[in-house]
Amino acid sequence: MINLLVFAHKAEASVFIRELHFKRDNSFSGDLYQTQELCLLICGEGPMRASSKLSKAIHHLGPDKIQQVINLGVAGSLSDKLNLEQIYDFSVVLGEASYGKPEFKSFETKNMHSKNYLITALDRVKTTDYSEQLSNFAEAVDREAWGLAYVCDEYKLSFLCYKLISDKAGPETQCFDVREKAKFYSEKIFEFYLQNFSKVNLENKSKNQKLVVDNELLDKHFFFSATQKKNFEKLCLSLKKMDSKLFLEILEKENLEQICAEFNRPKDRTKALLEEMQNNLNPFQKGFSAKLKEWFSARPKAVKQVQTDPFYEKEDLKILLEIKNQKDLIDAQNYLAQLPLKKYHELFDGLSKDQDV
Amino acid sequence: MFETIYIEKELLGHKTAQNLHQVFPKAELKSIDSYTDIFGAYRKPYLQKRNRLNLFLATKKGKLIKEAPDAYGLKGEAHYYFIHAFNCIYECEYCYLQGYFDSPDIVLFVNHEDILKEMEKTLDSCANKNVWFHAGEFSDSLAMSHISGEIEAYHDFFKSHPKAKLELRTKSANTRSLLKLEPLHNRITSFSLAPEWQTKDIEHKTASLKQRLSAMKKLIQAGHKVAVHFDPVVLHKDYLSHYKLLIEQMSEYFPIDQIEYLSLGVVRYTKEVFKATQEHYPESPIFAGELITSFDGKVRYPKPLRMSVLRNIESILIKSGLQKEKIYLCME
Repeated sequence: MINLLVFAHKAEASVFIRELHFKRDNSFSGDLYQTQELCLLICGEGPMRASSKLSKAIHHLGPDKIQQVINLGVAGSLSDKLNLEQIYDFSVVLGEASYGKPEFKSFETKNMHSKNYLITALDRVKTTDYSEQLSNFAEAVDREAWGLAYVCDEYKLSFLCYKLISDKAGPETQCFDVREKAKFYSEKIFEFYLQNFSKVNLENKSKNQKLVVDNELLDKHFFFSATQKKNFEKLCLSLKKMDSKLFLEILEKENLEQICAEFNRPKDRTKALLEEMQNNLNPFQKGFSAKLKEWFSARPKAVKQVQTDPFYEKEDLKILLEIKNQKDLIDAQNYLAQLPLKKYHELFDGLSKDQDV
Repeated sequence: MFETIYIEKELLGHKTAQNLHQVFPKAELKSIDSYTDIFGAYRKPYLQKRNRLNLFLATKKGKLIKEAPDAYGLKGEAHYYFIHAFNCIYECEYCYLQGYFDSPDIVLFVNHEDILKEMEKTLDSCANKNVWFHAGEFSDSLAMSHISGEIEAYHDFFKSHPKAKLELRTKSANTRSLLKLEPLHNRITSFSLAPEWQTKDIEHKTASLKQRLSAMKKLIQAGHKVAVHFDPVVLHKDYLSHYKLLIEQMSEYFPIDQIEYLSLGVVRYTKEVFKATQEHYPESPIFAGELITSFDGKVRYPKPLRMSVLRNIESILIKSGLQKEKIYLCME
């Protein structure tokens, strides 16, 4: 898995390309660079161009090979809260729909703790009115992040965004040339990257770890299909949440050995274990189902089926009869007359005296 | 608490606008044409309320009073809710607001006169009936009442309209405004109460159970009417002993028969809110209960289970001295 770094301009990425020994990917028609662990894309200015370049690069590299997309570069400040030449992370990226108005769709980055929002403008912000309009929504403005976040959302890729504040967005932007200071900015962003990214990677790894139950008995004497494994992991998490002591008891050696003694085939053992976990997770439903079974299962041949609401929401019973002769009719009548309907309704009204349920 | 306070231009001279400036001196103030230009103009993630909460002071246009759904309050009476605010400063893990608006920011509406006019019309259309007006459908009724000044704004109206009943719903202990006013027989402050673990673990930033009980005691002592919501009940393996303890704790603060009414309801979700809750609080103890996705896509406990839970709690309440007629099952 690789990190894909995305910059709008090559000048912003120059120190990265030099210091990390990136090599240009000549099989890609655009500015894509690679090392063994990293990729770097120059996406250009403007959200449309940025999204198109990133889509192309992801398709080229293979989305399953990318761990996360990290947008780095410069942005203009829309708020006095941000200091010039400092690097900020952003929790939410907004887009501009029309002059000074945001797109409804916004994107969260992985930096949820950050207070700062970034808005991607359709145009360069060169007037006070424009910057004031945008300042209602975000602290900084750039020209590509929203387009990149949009693509990452489509591909379900994590997105991170860090920007160095190069200037105050507004009339000053007109006489400001990012190229003049590009090398300095690139060095600062590179320094920031080196300091912070090993930590981010570690966090990602620990978050991505799935629940693994280290249990020799399970490995040797039980057989899990892919679906059962998924279900098992889900049940483990839920049971742990509900009652961690009970969770441990179910998976302890004695209990598993008992299942092994009762069932010969590993498949059947797994089925029994999952059933036990499910019943412990839903004790009420287990008791309820048992009660219904007790009431409705002993029935004459003529009564083919007694069906209750699968969602346990409606009290209606659906009864399927197959009457072939007079005896069937009498059997069915007797069965219906003896149905414990009152008890059944009491159960739905929470008035049952039955301790099992 | 608030990063930015947006005030609609028309309201810059409003008393509440001045209050906000004093109470939140660190917040940046911005004047805007309409709150809808910003609130809901883009999707703001719900959990951003933790570190970037904004406040809007606005005039509510459109419908100000809406008919409440069936089983919302005591049976046999007309129930309406009025919209005085959007969103809440608290963060309850089961809250339906997390899937309701496209922003967690708070909007305080200050056109109480318009709401009162609507109330007057509603009363006229329900002649000879008691009509309930509930506050708190989209926000906590008391949490910010010392700033918004709305409790005072409704006082005279309800004093002169005995057939109208006002319910203020809260998880706060903010009784400052109420205690300055004379009690009214038709103004009831209802407190959502839950076992201590629930108030601590899943009702983030709300007043603690003890603070809520103490606030109720103060109101009762000053002659105000109070009610209780045990809603939502979140199923827990020892739920009954927790509710027994809660009812005992209530009795330590005030005689239980002083409660005007008590509603009982279990946790339930629409499909969208359930999805949002799973996303926001994946480790929530709420998910340990036997929730099922029902025929209508709503997520709830199976009916026999939730009815048994509600009947069990009802039975403890009756044994503790609360009259059965005062208890109603919410949304059942």
